This record gives sequence, structure tokens and C-alpha cells, in this order.
Amino acid sequence: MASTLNQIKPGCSCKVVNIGGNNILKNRLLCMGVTPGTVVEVVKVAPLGDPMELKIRNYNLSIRKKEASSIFVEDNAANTKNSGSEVI
Amino acid sequence: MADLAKYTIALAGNPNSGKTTLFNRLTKSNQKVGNWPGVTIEKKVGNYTKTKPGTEDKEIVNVVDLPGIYSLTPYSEEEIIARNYIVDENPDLVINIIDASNLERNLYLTFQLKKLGCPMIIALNMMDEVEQNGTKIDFDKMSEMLGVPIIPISAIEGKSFSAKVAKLMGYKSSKIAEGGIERLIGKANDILDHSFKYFGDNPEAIPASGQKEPISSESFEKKKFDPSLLKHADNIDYDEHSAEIYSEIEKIVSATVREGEKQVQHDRTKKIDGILTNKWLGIPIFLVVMFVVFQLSFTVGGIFTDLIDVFFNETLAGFVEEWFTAAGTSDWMTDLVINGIIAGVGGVLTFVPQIFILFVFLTLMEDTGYMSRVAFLLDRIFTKIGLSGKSFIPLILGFGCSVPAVMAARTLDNEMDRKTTIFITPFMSCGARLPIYAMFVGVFFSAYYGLTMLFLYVLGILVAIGSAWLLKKTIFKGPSSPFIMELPPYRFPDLYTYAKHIWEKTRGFVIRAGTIIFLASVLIWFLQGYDFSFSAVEDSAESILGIVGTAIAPIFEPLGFGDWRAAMSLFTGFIAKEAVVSTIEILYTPEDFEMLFTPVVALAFMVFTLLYLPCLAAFATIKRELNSWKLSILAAAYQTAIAYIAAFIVYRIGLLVVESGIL
Repeated sequence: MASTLNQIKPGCSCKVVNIGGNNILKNRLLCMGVTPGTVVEVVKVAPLGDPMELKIRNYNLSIRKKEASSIFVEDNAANTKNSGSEVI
Repeated sequence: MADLAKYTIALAGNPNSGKTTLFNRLTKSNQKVGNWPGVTIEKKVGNYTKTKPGTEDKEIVNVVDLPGIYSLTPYSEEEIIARNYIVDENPDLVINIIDASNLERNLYLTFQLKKLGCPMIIALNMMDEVEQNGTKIDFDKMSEMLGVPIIPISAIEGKSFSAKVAKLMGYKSSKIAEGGIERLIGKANDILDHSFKYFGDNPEAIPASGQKEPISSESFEKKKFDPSLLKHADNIDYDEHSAEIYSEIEKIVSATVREGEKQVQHDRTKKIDGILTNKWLGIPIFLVVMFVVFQLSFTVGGIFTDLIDVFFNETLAGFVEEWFTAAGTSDWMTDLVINGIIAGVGGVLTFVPQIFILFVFLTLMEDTGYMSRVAFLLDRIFTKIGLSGKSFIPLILGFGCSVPAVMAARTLDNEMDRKTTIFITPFMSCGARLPIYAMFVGVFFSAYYGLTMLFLYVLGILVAIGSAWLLKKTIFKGPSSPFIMELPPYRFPDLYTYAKHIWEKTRGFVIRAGTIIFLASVLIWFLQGYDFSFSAVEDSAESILGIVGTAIAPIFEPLGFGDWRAAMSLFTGFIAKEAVVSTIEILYTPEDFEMLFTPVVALAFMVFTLLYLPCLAAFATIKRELNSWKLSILAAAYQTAIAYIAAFIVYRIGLLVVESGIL
């Protein structure tokens, strides 16, 4: 089932399908390793409700929900281990 | 210096890769290490002497610390600085420092560096952490797959480090570069020469694709970028190779790395974050931390402050007086040294312990990784006022000193965010303003040290927030930029670098006391002791300072401190904030001081000094960073106007409270 990353609940993992948004956002995310096929775990949401903390490629990244809404994901990867290196 | 050096080596790597620590170890120079993405903005150069292999000859190696960057895509000034440095300056060698515990993302930059075609070796850092987890890395294979020599190191551990550095500097045992560093450089120079053939020295002359000269993708990547590109960043195509590079990296990592059983650092970070960024505890803990930091710097620092005060005003002043009397020194000279220099410089130096303790904590927060958690916790507030959460980096640094803080605003990729942040950074109460509060709080609010301090700091923050909101609605309107920030693992800071960093900042403060404050003290002493015909006056109200001060003092009457001495101290505060203290020390007798200031007036005065225009050094930095006299003067005028309004409100409310008899 396709959805965007901001809809994923803390503690759940998903797989990146595609990145929308403008080129700045797209480029930044790709550079940081948020590439299609990568598994992303939503670790938590900040106390005030934004931003989110993600775990990707074995490190922690923080992005706002607004940015996360440009990342299309498959949320059926909940049981996958969150290590980018296992995704080819 | 550069001409003497045999080689130039550039250090490139991601933020938090330990690059700065390595730089410090190599060059023994002072350089800050922090977990804040992009803290090393300025180009830092040091040098290192190595012995030529097999001889006694010493060779100087220049080391350049490039900004910490995630990629070479021209999206921020750091990336452009790093990229252009490598393309323009042609370093003999680039050492790419990689955090071995975060391989995939770090290798992304490696791939981009490789495309620049510069001679390069990899220093695989944090190997201690990797080994602790039981993870095994096949260096030889990885080196072969990447086509780059690899040396495993751990910059933070002391033992065997210098041997490893020697190995880095005189690389010889690799399968790839058997002839040592010279051969490596020679070989790489060939590659460089080859790529330069395509477009000579002028990168603008690169023929567009489709023209007769064939361009390999490697040489095309070598072009440098004009900083003006930043203004049109949205027009740049995104790098569609990113995904390909990452799948390349995944292949290399899965072929060379065998993950260990343990995840010591991740587990530790997760546990700490479970408390520090906890949904309910996160923000209260942050507030308590800030409160404790300020409280400690005043109570513990205060003990030493008293000692220093006694030393200057009793021991030293008494000694000098005796000595001068015995030597028959003229009265004016004795007065200058005791009431001018010792009172002025001593008055500022007494606050060194408090500033030292404040830096001890702020630097610790920065170097352990807690600062980025603070940005994570408070980002929402910043979104509301239209700023990126990354503005928190310069703003927090502003608690130390506005000068580096304003410069740190360069990390913001959005131009409007950057300008807004520069405008509001001086509202963050800098270290030099501490002595002012310390002096007033010590006299009028001694029972409420921490609370009064917290009030002032929070007021500064609130004014900054309000101003940002206003500025973003008016002169700095623009779209908000994406917020993408690494939350680095919590690490113990490298003690060597940490100590140097604190020392450097404290020393800067002491040096200012010895230079600017010294001169200001002498000047104030003269201006308050002599009139316009340069003859000594009995009553300092008749002095140059007294006359000028009396003329402008009425401006401050509505704020409660329409006294000429207070007005003049604010004027000298523009030279350096802590000069407010020395001016007051010189101009007021303790009795006058307590008579002319009431707690309400003292509070209004502190609020004014908190908010009014920053010191000369900060103003010069703002001018340089905004690159506009008009905007810089507007900033200073705005800050002073806000200070006036806020002090007025505080004074009036204070009077009402006192009159109503609540307190």
C-alpha cells in the first residue's frame, strides 16, 4: 500500500518508493541516502509534534512532516530490519 | 608559509566524522570540534612537520581543514567552498575522513570527491567503535573496490595515533601506491593534467555537450561553481546519479563489511534519547539544563569572582599605591593606574570564571551532540515564526559570542532565513553581557541569581522569536527551506580539542580585557577627569564625559536611568559590552551606584543592555555577512529601538508593582 512517510507511525518501518517535491528537497534527501528502495524507520516524533526522527542507513536523521509528505513509501515493510545495506 | 611547505593536504569529510579532531591532532592548532552540522565554516589551515622517509630531512606539510559537508552538490556555501578549494588550489592530497560506523552515507562524499579526480586517501575513523561492535571490515577489498587507499584510524584515542598519522603522511605500504606518497601524488597529478587538458584553466570554457571535444563524465564533474548559483538553487537539476551512487555503495559495503552482533553506540544513543528527547521530559529537561548551567556559572564562578575582585581592588591596588608613593609618582599617574586601569580591567577580569564555566557547559552540549537534540525539540516553535530549525545553531552559539554566531548563519541555505537569523542573533545574550548582569544582579537581586538570569535570557529569546516573525512577514519574505538535520550519535568529546576550545574562547575574553578594555579604561579615565580645555576637574560631572553624558542622559530618563554615567557606560558598551562594567566601576562610587539604581532601574538597565545594538566587533561581522551598510545600520537601529521599548515597559511595570506594594 502506497502512502507518504509522514503517515507512518513511530516504531514502524517502510520502504522509500519515490521522492516528490522541489529539486532542492529532492537533492538533499538523495544525498543523505534517502533513495528509492531504502528502508526507513520512523523512530519518534518531537514533543511538539514536529519534526520526525528517522533511522536510515544506520544513522539518525531529522526531517519535518512537511518534507516527509514528499516521500512516497510502501508501508508493508514493517517487519523488515532497518538496515539500508540489506536493500539492493 | 605556503611557499615553504612541501605538500598541501586537504581534509574533507562529513560533519561529525572526527575531521576536526584529526586536524587538531595533526596541526596542534586551535579548532573547534562539535556535533553541529557545518560548524567549520572558515577555511582552517595548519601545518605539520614530517621526516622524509629514510632521511633526517624535515618537510613541512600544510593541512587545510575543509568545511564538514555531506556532498559536493552546490546547495550550500560550505559545499561550494570545499568543491572550489579542491578544484582551484589543487591540493597534493585529499584525506577523506570517514566515520566507519556510518559508512554508507559517508562514502557518498567519497564517490563525489573521486569524481573531482584529486589524489585521495581515506582515513577510516571511529574504528574503535566499529571493533567494539564486533564488526569486521575488509579494508583491502574495500580499498580495491573504491580505488582509493584506506587507513583505519580512531582520531579520538591517543595511543598509536601519531604512528598512524605518520602512516597517513608517508603512505607507503599499500598495494595501490607502493612508491609512497610521492608516487601517489605523481600519479594523481597525471590524472589531473589529463583532465585539465579538456578545458584549460578556465572552467567556464567547458564546451557544452554535443560539441566536438568529448568530455568524460569525470572531467565534467570537475567544474567549479559560482556562489551566485545558490540564489537559483531550485533551478539546478537534482543529481540523478545519487541513487546509482548509493546502490554502488551498497554493493561495496555488503561485500566488505560483516556487521557485528552488537550496536553499542546506537543502543547508548537510543537510551539517552529516550530521556532527552522524550515526549514529556524533553523540553522540561532542556529548561532545567539551561537553568542549572547558568546557576552554576554564577554560584561556582562567583566564588572565584570574589577572589579575583579582592586581588585587584585590594591586593594589587594597595601594592601599586604603596609602590608609587614610595617612588614619588605623580598623583595623576597613580590615579590613572588605580582608578582607571586596575578598576576597569580588573572589573572585567573578575567575570572570567563565570564565562569560563558557561563555555565549559555550552561547548560540552555542542561537542556531545545534545545541541542538535535541542534543535529537534524546539524546531516546531521556529517553524511557526517562519524560520528553519537550523537557525537554532547560530542562535545558541549567540549565547557565547555574537561574532562566530553571526558567521554560523552561513550554514542556512535559505537566503531570507540567513538574513533574519543574522538580525536576531545579537538578541541572544552573549558572554560579554554576563558581567553586566552579574554586577547588577550581585548588588540588587542576589537572592534570585538564577531566576533573574533566566528571565533575561528568556526575554532575549522571546524578543528574537518575535522579531523573526516580524522580519519574515515584512522585509525578509520568502519560501521556507527544507529541514534535514542529522542527529549524530552521542559521543564523549575529544578532551584535547574540548579543552582547547574552552581555553581559546576564555583567552579571547582575557585578551579583550587586556586590549580593548584597557584602552577604553584609559580613555574613560581621561574623559571623566578632564574638561574640554584638558585641565583636570574636581567633580567628574564637569568633565568631557560628564558634559556629553549630561546632554544625552535625558533620552534615558523615561527608562529610569537618566544619569550621565549610565548613559556613558552604554556608549562605551558599543566598543565592547563588558566595557559597560568597567565604565561603571570607574565612574561610580559604590555608594552612588546603590543610590542611583533601584532594583527596578537595574532591571530596566539590564534589559536595555541585553537588547541594544551589539558591540563593534559583532556589528562589523554583521556588516560583512549582510554585505550591506543599509541593512546593517537598519539592524542596529532596530535592536536599539526594541531595547528602548522593552526597557521602558519593564521600568513602568516595575514601578507599578513596587507602588502597589506586591513586593
